[in-house]
Amino acid sequence: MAKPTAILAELKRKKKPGAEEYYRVRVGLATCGISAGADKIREEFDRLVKESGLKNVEVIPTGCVGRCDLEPMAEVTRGADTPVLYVHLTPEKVARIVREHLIEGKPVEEFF
Amino acid sequence: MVEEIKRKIVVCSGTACTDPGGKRLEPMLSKILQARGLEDQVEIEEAVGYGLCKNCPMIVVEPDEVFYGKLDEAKLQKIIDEHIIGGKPVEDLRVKGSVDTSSIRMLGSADFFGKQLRITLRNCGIIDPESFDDYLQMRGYEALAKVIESMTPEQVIEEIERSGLRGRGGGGYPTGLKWRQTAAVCSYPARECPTEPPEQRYVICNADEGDPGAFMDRSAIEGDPFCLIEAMTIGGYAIGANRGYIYVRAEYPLAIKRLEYAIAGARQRGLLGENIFGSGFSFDIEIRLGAGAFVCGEETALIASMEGRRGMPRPRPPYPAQAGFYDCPTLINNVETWANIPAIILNGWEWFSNLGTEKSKGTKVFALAGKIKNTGLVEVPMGTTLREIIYDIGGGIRHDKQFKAVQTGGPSGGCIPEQFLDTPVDYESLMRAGSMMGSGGMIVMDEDTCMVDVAKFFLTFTQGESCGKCTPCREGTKRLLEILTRITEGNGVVEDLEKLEKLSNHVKRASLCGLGQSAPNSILSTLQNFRDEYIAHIEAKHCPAGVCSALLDYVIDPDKCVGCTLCKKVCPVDAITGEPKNVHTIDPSVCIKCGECKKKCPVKAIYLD
Ligand SMILES: Cc1cc2nc3c(=O)[nH]c(=O)nc-3n(C[C@H](O)[C@H](O)[C@H](O)COP(=O)(O)O)c2cc1C
Ligand code: SF4
Repeated sequence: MAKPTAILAELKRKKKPGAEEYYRVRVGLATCGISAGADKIREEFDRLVKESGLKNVEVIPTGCVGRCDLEPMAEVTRGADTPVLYVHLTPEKVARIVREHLIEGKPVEEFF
Repeated sequence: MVEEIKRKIVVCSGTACTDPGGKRLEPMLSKILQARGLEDQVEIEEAVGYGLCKNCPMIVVEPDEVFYGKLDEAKLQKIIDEHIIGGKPVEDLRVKGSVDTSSIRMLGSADFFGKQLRITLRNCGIIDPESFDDYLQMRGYEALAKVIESMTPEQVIEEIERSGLRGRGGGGYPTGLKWRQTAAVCSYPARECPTEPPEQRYVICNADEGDPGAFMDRSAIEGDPFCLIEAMTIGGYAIGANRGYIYVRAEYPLAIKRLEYAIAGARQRGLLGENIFGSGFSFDIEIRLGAGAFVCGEETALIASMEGRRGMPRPRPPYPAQAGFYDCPTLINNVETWANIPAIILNGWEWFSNLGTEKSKGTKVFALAGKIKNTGLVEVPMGTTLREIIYDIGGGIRHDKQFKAVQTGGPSGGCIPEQFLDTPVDYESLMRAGSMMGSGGMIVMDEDTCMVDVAKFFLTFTQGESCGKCTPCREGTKRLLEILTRITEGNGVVEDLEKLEKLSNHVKRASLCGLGQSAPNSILSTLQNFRDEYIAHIEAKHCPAGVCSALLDYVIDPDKCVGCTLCKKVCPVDAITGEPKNVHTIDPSVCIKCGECKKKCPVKAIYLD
C-alpha cells in the first residue's frame, strides 16, 4: 500500500506548473477587499485581459495581506521579477495596469 | 576553518520561493557545501514560508537569525564562504528590516512587514483560497501525511505540548495539555459511558469571533481555509476523534463558502472522510452556523448551541475535554490555535518554542484598528512591544495626533496608557498592564477619544450580550452602564466612582462565565489610568476630549459669522438670536444640542466647546 507521503506527492504532481513568463495578477478578495470594491476590480481585470486577448495572464483571487486600509489591491508577479503591489485600485487604474504593465511590460511607476 | 558554532541554513518554502518561476535553492546549497566538504557540518532545513516573499528566494542562517534574500548561486557561495566559514554575516546581501522596500514602497513603511513573522497567516494574500492545488504546492497536507505515516497519536500530542503553544481564543490554556486531557480515558463523571459507540470524541473549531472590531479569524479563514481543515484532521488523529465541527458565525458568508470548498476538495482527494490516505483513519468535518451571539463564543455555550439548546454557559468542571458535545470528550480550539498546528508538525517543536517569550511561544495575530495609520492584520512574534506594533508596523497615530491609549482584549480587556507602551505582548505582561491578550483586537485611541465614552461603549456591548443567566452579570452590567451614562451626561456625582469600583468587583467575582467576569475590565482600567477624565466629567461637567455631546455647548464664532440667518431658521427651539448681516448667538439654556445649525452654517462658524 502506498505511503501517505507518496500519495501526497502524486496529488501534487497533478497540477502542471504555469509557464515562467506568465503574469499572475492576485486580487485581494477577502471581505475587506470586497467591501472596498475588489470584486469589481477583478471583473475589470478579467474583462480587459479577455478583450485584449492576453493569453499569458492569470487573474487569481487571494486573501488579505493585512493592509485593509489600502484595498482594493492586486499584486502582479512574473517569474523572478520583483512583485509589484498596486493599491487603492479603480477601474481607471486597472485599465492602465493592463495596458502598460501586462501588455507593454512596464510597471506603472506612477501608482507606486 | 568552520567556527565552533554549528550553523543551520533554513530555506524558505513559501509560495514565491517555490513558485514555478522561483529557483530552487536547496540543490544549489548542497552542491556548494559539498564542494567545500561541509555537507556534514551544516544542516539544511526547509521551513514553512516566512511570508517575506518580496525577497524570494531566501534563506535564514541560524542561530544568528540573519535573513538573506534575492539569492542566486553566486550569492549563496559568498554567504557560505563569508558567513558560514568566515563567521561574518554578508551585510550587503542581508534583508534589511527583513524586507525589500522596492516592491512595497506603496505600503508606506517597510516595517509593516519587516517586524512581522507570519506563521498562521503565511498563506494569506498569497495562495488562491479557492484552489486546493495552490495549498498543496505550499506544503499543504504534508503535516497530516507526516503524522499518519510516522507518528503515533501520543507523539503528536507530545510534539504540541513541547512546542509550548497556548490557546489563541483568549484564555491562553496550554494546547498540548488540552489535547492530552481530551485524549485521556473518558472518566468524568465516574459513570458508564452512555455514548454509542463508547469513547466517542469530537473536535471543534471555535470561529465564532464575536468581539467588536475583531476580524483575525475571518481573514485567516478567507485567506487559507485549507490549513484549518488539515489541522483539525491532525487533532482528530491525535485525540482519537472521527468527527469535527467548525462553529462559524452566519455573518461570515465568504469564510463559510471557502471552508465548504476546502472540505469538498479534501474529501475528493481522500484527505478527509473515510480511510484518509488509505490508512484506515477516518475523520470528517461539518460546518455549524452560529447566529452571532457573543456569548456563544464561550465554549460551553457554543456546545449548547450546537446541540440545539439555548446558547448559555454552564459551570465548569466538567470541562469540554471531559464532557463536551453530547457529553463526550471534546477538543475545542480557536482558529488561530489550529492554524499553528501544521507548521509545528512540519518544523518541529524546537523551532516553535524558540519563537516568542519564555511563557508565550510563537506569534500572535492582531487586528489593528482605530486611530492608527495602517489598519489591518498583523502577525508578530510574542514579546514584540506595543510600541513596535503601533509605531513601526502600524505607522503611528493618524494625522500625527497624540497617542492616548490602546485597547486590547476586546470587551473583556482594558485600556493601556502611554507609560505601558513598552509592554511586550504576551499573556502575562498584558495582564500586568491591566488588560489581556484576548483574541487579538487592538484598538488605538488618540487625544480625541474620551475614555469614559470608551468604557461606556464596551459596557453597552457586554450589557446587551449578557445571556442573563446570572444576576450579577445581568443586573450588574445594567447598573454599571446607568452610572456611566449618568456621568457622560453631566449628572454624575463623586460617589459614583466608588460605586463603579465596588460594583465592578462584585460583577467580576460573582459571574459565572468570562463575559461577566471580564465585562467590568474596561471600567476598572480606565478608572485606574484616566481617573482625571472621570472627575472632569463629574466636577467640571466637562469632557476633555470633546466627545460627550451632553457636556458641550454649541457656540458661534463671532469672527466667522456672516449673519446669513440660516442657523436661526433651522433651529427647532429658537435658541438662536441675531439680525441679518450681524453676528448671531446661541442661548445654551434653550439649546437642545441637535446640531442642525452646525450642519447648516455655510462658513463653519459653529463649533462645540
Ligand atoms: C464571552 C466569551 C466569548 C468568547 N468568544 C470566543 C470566540 O469568539 N472565539 C474563540 O476562539 N474563543 C472564544 N472564547 C473562549 C472559548 O471559551 C475557549 O476558551 C476557546 O475557544 C478555547 O480555544 P483555545 O484554547 O484555542 O483558545 C470566548 C469566551 C468567552 C467567555
Ligand atoms: S456571566 Fe453573564 S453571560 Fe456569563 S453566564 Fe452569567 S449572565 Fe450569562
